[in-house]
Amino acid sequence: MIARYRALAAGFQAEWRHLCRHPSVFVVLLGVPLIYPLLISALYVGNQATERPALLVDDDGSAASRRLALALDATQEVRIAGRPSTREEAFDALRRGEVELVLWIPPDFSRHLARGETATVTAWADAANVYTYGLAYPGLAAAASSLGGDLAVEHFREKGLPAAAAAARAAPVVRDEHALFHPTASYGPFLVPGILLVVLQQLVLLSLGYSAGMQRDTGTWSLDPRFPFSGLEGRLLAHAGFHLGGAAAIAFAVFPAFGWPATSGPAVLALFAAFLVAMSPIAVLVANACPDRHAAFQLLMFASVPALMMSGFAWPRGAMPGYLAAVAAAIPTTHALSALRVLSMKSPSLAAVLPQLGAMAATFAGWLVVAVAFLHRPWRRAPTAGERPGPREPIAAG
Amino acid sequence: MGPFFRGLAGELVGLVRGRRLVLLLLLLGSAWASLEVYHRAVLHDLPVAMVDLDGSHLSRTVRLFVDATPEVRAIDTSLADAEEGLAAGRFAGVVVIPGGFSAAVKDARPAPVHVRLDMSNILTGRTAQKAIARAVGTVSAGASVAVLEKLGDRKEQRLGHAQPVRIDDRAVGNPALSYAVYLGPGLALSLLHVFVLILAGSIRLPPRPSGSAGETAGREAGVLVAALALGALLTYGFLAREGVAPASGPGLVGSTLALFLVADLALVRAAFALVPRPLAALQFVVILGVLSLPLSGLTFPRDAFPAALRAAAGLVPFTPFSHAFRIYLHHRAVLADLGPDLLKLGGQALGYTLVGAAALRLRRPRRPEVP
Repeated sequence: MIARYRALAAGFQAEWRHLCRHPSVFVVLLGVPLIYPLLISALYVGNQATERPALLVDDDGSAASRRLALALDATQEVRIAGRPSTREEAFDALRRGEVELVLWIPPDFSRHLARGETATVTAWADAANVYTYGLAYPGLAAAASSLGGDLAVEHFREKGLPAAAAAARAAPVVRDEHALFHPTASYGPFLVPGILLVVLQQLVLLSLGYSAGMQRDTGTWSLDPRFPFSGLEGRLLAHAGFHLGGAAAIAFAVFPAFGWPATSGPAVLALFAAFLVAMSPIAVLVANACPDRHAAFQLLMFASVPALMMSGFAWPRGAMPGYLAAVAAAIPTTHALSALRVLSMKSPSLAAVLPQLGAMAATFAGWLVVAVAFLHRPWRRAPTAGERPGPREPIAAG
Repeated sequence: MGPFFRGLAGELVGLVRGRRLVLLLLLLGSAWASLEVYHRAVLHDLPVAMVDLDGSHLSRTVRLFVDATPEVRAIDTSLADAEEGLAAGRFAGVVVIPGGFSAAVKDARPAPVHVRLDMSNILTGRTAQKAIARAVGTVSAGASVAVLEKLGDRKEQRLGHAQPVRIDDRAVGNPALSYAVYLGPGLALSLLHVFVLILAGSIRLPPRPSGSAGETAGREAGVLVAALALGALLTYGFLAREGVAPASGPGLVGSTLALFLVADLALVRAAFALVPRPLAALQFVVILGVLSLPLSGLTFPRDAFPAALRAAAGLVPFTPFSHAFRIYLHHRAVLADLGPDLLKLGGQALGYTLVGAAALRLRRPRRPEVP
């Protein structure tokens, strides 16, 4: 047991010596948790995409069609960017992606209204971007509903009903609607906290992988062959302060600076810290597999997107194929993101995320077993005394 | 065999060996996984708690209409369970029909249906919101029509008076509002973009020098050929499986993809010429590659970015490419439709090539003057 701790301490000291001699690792340790979150946050600081550009083709030219156009332009969601004379012109602009909505008011619009018939307006909306479609179409629906509601009330008044009764008859059932936990339903606060946690994932994996690869490249890599896992854990511990510092910078600086939701900064930091611990066996495995300084950057970039997509942070896991949800359940990021959603929007208490913390503990235990078993596998090549692996060929090698 | 073809062959053969094979498998695996997430395309059967405190025919009609929407599934429960389930994330929303609801409708008094939505996930929250709004709106219109009948409206006019304005909604490019169509192309092709940047950057990494200019050019050509083939696989294989087969012809698709890849290669050349240390240059292009998807405006529109980031996004090849592929995937496009994007890609390819050449020239040591 003492020898194991000695191996851990030796790994820690060796890593510190390496960090002091090769400051480029600091670029990763400091740059990733500082620059990346700032860039991503700056991108989404607008929070909500408003004033989606639309074209209106009004072939009716009546007071009613003008009322509809005015109501539409007055919405926050839609901006009438032009009024072409033909639908073809409008479609061309829609196809080229210059506008996101084309609204056509046909020539018989007001005639139908006058005859007490439903008047139909046609909207072609660019649904290739479901997000902007989801903003533009409700704006149009609200404008149409507003005009339709006014006309319905007018008709009930003509039937002799008093104003209040006419309004109630025109819209007998109303929705008293409240959006909870994230009332603005804006995009930035929904997505960015999750991206920032994935940045921490990449930090943990990249920093140790890059450092280990560089040491293998320069022939300075050393690991106690009796306790390879403890040696690697010691090396990871040398990075841990930076990981935690990066997590603290994100929780206490980036979150409040950009207004990303967090019911409790300390609770979010505690979650980040637990996540860093849960990722440590995977980081050890990755570092063991990096033969040179380039490998981490070449290979780990494909880890972030699937981890976020499969986590259920945006698209619910219940809506994914079962096998994918099962794979996602084995990744600590999945549970950390689920917990982050609760802590950022619903509850400041860590007690509210005990199930997720338990799941993270389970993934940590599972990966710990895998990492220890793999690194201590009996059939691994026995290193010679004082072995220092030489530089390896990078990917460019044939 | 000349150096160019040696480089070309070496790069293509090397793609199925060693680390490049791992890279290739990672690209295909992560593209597959990312697309599989959205394989079901649209959200349906989101659980919504229904609390009917009225117990009338009208309240049961509201419940029936909510449950009839494909997006949500009504679950009858108590108020306490509904509140607890909403906080715990078991329900996407709660609909409470208060006591006296139908009486209020009959008496022409405000008759609200209380809707509480879990908007912590805006995807599920908005989906439930739309479905509930549609259901309640339909019941409301029906109630209005019933009153108009009693007030003596002619049959053919009742719906027109209850709902004077109707929208005929035509969702273009993605009629089913599928998330696979929305996100799939961006995810798959941005991963290809990262793959190309890594591969092209790796050609220039020491300790193995890039060899003669001809061999380097051959290696780049190898990256281009391989990326074209992978782009075709992702477009006509992976994406087509998700129902996103290109509406435009393969010639237009292929040439746009090729121009994008040429711009990417030029970007890598420029980065390695400008940044003195090869590893730092690789780090730069890789990070730029990963940032390309959010910068492109595919998910969150670029007009909502701060001006500086909007301008920076315009310099990344993936941005005009993403605009172009949105067009050629969903419309039967002609060259003129993609003109502005192709011009931007061509301009970037040329610009990065010139920048790279100028940077190399500045870095080259001057020949000593002969006395």
